[in-house]
Amino acid sequence: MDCQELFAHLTDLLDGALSPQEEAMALEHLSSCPECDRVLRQTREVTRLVAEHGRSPLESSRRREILDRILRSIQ
Amino acid sequence: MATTGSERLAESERWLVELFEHHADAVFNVAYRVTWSAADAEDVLQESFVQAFLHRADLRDPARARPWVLSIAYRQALMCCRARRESPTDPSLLDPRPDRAGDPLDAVVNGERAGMVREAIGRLSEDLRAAVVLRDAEGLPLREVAEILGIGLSATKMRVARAREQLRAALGEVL
Repeated sequence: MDCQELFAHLTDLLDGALSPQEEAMALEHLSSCPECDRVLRQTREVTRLVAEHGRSPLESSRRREILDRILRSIQ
Repeated sequence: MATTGSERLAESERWLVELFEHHADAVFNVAYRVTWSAADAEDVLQESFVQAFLHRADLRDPARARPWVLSIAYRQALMCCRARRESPTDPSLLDPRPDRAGDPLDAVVNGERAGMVREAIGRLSEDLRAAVVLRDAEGLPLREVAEILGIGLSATKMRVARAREQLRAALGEVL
């Protein structure tokens, strides 16, 4: 696997969706390519940051009010 | 004993309340990330559950409720953005959008890591933003994200990959 192929498989690699054979080839490439290893680590950190900071909770008072509006509008 | 019309309505309302309790946060988050306006996201949230109620017969498999209601919300959010483009809203009514020239390092220095991540998400296009928020913030499987966005699995993977790559470029200095 070369850098371009690794890049194409990055999403599947992070999602654990590669076949065992593809994953082994990806890991082999990563062990010898610091640049791809850096990209992988940074992308993994991006997914973690989006998981941590990418949600905007709805305030509980607004939540109740909106549910009431929904229930009124379907009467 | 036959159920009356009012009993059927009460049962449907209970179903709707339960659907809302389980999925309102995810619907609001997706709506907010697409529209970038808390007020619009609340409107989308309300309309999505009204539409879900009106079309409840379309949900054949109750186990598929989450992607079903999120796909309604995604369509409603896109319609909201389209309507806004056709009759532009006063920009002051929208939540502050990230400044494309903003330096991510400044945000970190100021201890605003969360804000920096949200700003970077806000710089993505609507379709990339929805894909990465559904996958990484809501933690949904790619197949479910594809179902919600109404596109194929390969196109979904591409959107998630492009979104992550743009975020990596935007946040790169501090990753």
